[in-house]
Amino acid sequence: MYSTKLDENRYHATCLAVLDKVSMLELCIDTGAKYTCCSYNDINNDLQEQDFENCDFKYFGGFVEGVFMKFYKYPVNQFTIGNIDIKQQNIWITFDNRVNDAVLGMDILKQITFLSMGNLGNLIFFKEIKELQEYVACIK
Amino acid sequence: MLRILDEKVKRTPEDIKKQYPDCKFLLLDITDIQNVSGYLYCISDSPETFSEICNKRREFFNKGVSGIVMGHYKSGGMIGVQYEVR
Repeated sequence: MYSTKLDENRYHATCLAVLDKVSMLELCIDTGAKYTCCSYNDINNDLQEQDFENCDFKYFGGFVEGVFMKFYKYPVNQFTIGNIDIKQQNIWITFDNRVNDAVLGMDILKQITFLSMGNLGNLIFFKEIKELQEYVACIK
Repeated sequence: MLRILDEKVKRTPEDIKKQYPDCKFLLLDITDIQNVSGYLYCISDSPETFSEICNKRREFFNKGVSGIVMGHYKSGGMIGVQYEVR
């Protein structure tokens, strides 16, 4: 189980992305975002855009008003939300220096179970449904 | 501007965000991802220094010190509704 507190009406999660290096990053939890996105700086600022020439990419808007930006698919061997390991994932990185915030989108969120506790201002992530059931049983 | 503070007392991100709103900051020596706290090393108060603060994190990482860049410029104003352009 991993929980995060409401912060200025947003939830953020501390995550680990592991490929050849381990990156710890703070992501804004965004159920309105289809994809998990960040700047290459958040992952590894040694990365070079030319190394992604043959990689899958998409254009996303919503970061700067009226502007869309190129994001490259970046597979990581291990991704964790807090202490919850959700194994191999793809995240989307951009080399556009105007992007300096990162979002945890539904591509990853849909794979795990989470519960918003409005009265506590907490968002709780569970490793599996059974853990959620046990948690709910305890708060009855 | 990037301001080096190099604090010696561990603090939580919540505490730092209250003191330095609308900034990104580098927190070092994180040992518990569930309850994040660490040493505040520096703050960046403008997007122009975002890459600098990430470079600092990388420098510490290469020395074996864990670090995380947290916080937001303009109260996270960059985050809007994401859409895919096809």
